[in-house]
Amino acid sequence: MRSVLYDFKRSFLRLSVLLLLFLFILGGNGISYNVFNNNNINPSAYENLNVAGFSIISTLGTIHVYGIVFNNMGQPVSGATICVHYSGGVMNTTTSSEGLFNISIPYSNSSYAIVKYDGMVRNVSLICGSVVMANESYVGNVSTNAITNVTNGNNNVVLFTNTSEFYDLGSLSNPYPYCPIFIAIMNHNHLVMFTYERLNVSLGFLQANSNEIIINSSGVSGAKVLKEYNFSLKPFTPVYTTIEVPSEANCVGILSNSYVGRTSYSQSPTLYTNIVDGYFSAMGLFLSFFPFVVIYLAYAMFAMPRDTGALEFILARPITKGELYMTRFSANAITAIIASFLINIPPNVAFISIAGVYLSPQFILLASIIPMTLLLTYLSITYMYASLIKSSGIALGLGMGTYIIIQVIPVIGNVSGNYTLIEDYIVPASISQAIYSYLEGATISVNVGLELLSTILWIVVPLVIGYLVFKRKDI
Amino acid sequence: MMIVVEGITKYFGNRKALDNVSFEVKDGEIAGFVGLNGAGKTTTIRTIVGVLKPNSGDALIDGKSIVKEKKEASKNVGWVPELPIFEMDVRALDYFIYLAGYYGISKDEALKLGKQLFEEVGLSGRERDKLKNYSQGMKKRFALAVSLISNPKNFLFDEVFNGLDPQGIQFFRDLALKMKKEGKAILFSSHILTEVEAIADKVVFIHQGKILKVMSMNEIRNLIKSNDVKVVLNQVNENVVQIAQAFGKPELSGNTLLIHDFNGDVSVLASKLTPYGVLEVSKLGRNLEEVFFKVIRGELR
Repeated sequence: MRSVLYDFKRSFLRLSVLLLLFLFILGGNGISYNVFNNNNINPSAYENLNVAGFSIISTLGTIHVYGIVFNNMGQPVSGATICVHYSGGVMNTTTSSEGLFNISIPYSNSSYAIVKYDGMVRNVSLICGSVVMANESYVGNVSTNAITNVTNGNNNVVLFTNTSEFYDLGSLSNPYPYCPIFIAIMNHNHLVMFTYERLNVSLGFLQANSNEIIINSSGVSGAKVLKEYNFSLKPFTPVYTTIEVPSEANCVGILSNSYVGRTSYSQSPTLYTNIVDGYFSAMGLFLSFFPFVVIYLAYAMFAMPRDTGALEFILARPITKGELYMTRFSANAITAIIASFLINIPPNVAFISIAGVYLSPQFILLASIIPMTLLLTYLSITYMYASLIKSSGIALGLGMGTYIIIQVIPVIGNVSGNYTLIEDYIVPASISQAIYSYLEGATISVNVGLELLSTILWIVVPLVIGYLVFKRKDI
Repeated sequence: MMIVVEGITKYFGNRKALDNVSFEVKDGEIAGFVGLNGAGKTTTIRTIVGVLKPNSGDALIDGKSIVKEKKEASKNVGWVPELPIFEMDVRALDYFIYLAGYYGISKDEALKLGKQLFEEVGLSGRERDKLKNYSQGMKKRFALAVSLISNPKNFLFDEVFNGLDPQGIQFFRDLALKMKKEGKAILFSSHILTEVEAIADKVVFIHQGKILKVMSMNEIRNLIKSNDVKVVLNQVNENVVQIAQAFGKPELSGNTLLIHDFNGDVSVLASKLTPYGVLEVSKLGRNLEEVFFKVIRGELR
C-alpha cells in the first residue's frame, strides 16, 4: 500500500498530472458555463423572489391587483416593495407578513409591477400575464382578448405570475385555463396556494398508470391516489404549508366546487431538471476528449518508462513485476478518480452559489462514476497495450486509436439499427446510461446489472491481460 | 555464500543468451566478471538482481531465491548498472525518497538517509537537481546511493568504470575494496582487465553465454608468473649467446637477448655481460589479458 501511495504522490504531483487536474477543473467550469449560458438558465429561473396574483378588472376602468410574494422555499416575503406602473403613473406598496399586497390602479393595458426585495427584482405584467383566465360563473366570460372587452362592462380576472423554476409544480392553470387557483409546489414539498374566490379544494397526489384519468366528485379512476390534502380557501388569503409528496407520485389532481383538473408531476424542481439536463449534455462534450488525457497519463507513467528502461531500476527494488504494474496502475487510477470528482465540483459550486441549486452527495457520487468508469477503461486499455508492446509510441497510438474506433461503434449501430443496444451495453462505461436516467428522474429502461457488468469488464479484462502479460514477459 | 548463481539459462526469443551459468561470490570477496561485449555479463547481472526472469536456474542472495522470493532477495543486493536509466524528469532526492518507499522507509527517514548517502557517494549539494541534468558518473553515484538504502551485503557493479573520469574510477575502486573489507560479496564486471586484476580475488570468465572458467587470483598470478629474462645490450656477438646458455635458453633478436626458463642470478648474468654494454635487464611477466584470451580460446582448461 505504501508503494501505491508513493507512486500516487509522485505521479499526482507531476506537472503533467497537475495540468491534467487543472484541465478537469477548467472542464468543470466549462460545464457550468455551458449549463447557464447555452441552456438559457438565466437569473429569472433561480432568483429567490416570486410573485403571483390576480388582476380584477372592473367595469369602472379600475384594476384591483391582489398578489403574493414568496421565496423559493414557498415562504412569504414580507416587506417587499411593489411598484405598480400604469399609463400615466406609478404607485407603491409593500407586502404584509403573509407576503400579500393589494393595490388599485386606473386601467391601463400596459400595467406592470416591479417587485423588489433584498437586492432582488422581479417584473410581472399585470394584465398580460402568462395566462389569462377567469371563472365564468364569477366574473363572466373571459378570453384572450378579455382586455379589449373591458369596456363592454364584464368583470375580468387575469392570473399573473413570474416565478423562478424552483417549483415541482408551477401552476395547474396552463393545461386548464379556467383554474381559479394559483398553486405551486416549491422545492419538493412547499405548497403555495392563492385564489380569488372561496373554494373547498382537494389536492391529490396520484400514481397514474394510463392517460385515461378521470377525476370527479365520486373519486379517481385510471390512477392510484397516494396522498390527499383538503383545504378551505378564502379569497385573497394565501396558504403556505409543507406537504409530504409520495415518491411514486407522477400526477397531481385537483378537485374543487368550481374546478376539476390534473397535471403531470415531476419529483424535482423544474430548474433542477433543466440544470441536470444541461449538466449531462455539457459533461458528454467534455468527456469526448478527457480519455485522451488519461491515455497520455498511462503513456507517461508506464509505457514510456518501460520503453526507456527506467522501470528496470525500480524493479531491482524489493518489488515484484506484478506489484510494479498494479502500483503504477493504482496510482494513475486514483488520479483518474480524483479528476472525476474534480470535474463535478466546479459545476456544483456554481449551481449552489449562483442558482441555489444543491446537488446531493449521492448525485455527485453517481455523476462522478460516469467519467470515472470511462477514464479507468482507457487507462486499463493503454496499460494493456504498454504491457504487450514495448514501444511506448505504438502503445500511445493504439490507446488513442481504440478510443476513436469505440466512438465510431455506435455510429455503426445506428446504421445497423442496433444503436441503443450498443450504446446501452457494448461500449465502455455504459453504466452511464442508467445513471443519466436515474439522476434525471426518468424511468430506467436498461438492465442495470448487465450495464454494470459490461462497464466492469471493460476495465478489468484489459487490466488482467496487461498484468498477466507484464508478469511473464521480460521488461 | 552470499551470491550463488545456479544454472541460469536465459533466452531472448530463440537466442540463448545465457547457458547454464553457475558461479558463486563469497563474503568478503570481489569476483571479477570478464568477457567480451555480448558475452552475457549484463544479462547475468540483470538476472541476479531480478530485472530479468531466467528460463531456468536461479540466483540465491543470502540464500533467498531471486525467482521465488524476489522481494526478500532484492533487499540484500545492490546494483550499479553500466548506464543507469531513471525517470529523468524528477529531482534526485525526491526520486530517492520514492524508491526508499519500496524498502518500507518513511519519507522523513528517507530524507535523512538520502542526505547522508548523497554525501557519502559525492553528490552532496546536487540533491535538488533533476536526474536528467546528472552526468553519467553522477547517475552511477545516484544508483549507488539508492543501492545503499538497505545497506545490502551483496553488490553488483556492471562495467562501472565506463564513462568515468579518473576520480570516478578511483572512487568506485576504493569503494569496492572498502566493501570487501566490510565482508560484502561483490561481483565486478569490467573489460578494463587491469582494474579487475588490481582488485579481484577471483575472476569469472564468461564467453558466448557460458562460464568458461572461474579462477582465483592466486591461480592467475601463478599462471602469469614468468621465468623469462630480457637483456638489452649495446653490442652483441656469438659469445653473448654462449654466456647466456649457462642461465637458460637464449634467443637473440637484434640487440635484445631473451633468456627463456631463466635459472640463475640476474646480477651474475649482468656482470658477465658487462663487456657488451648492459642497457637493461628485466624479468618478463604476462597479464590477465593474456590469460583471458587463453581462456576464451580454450587453451586453459
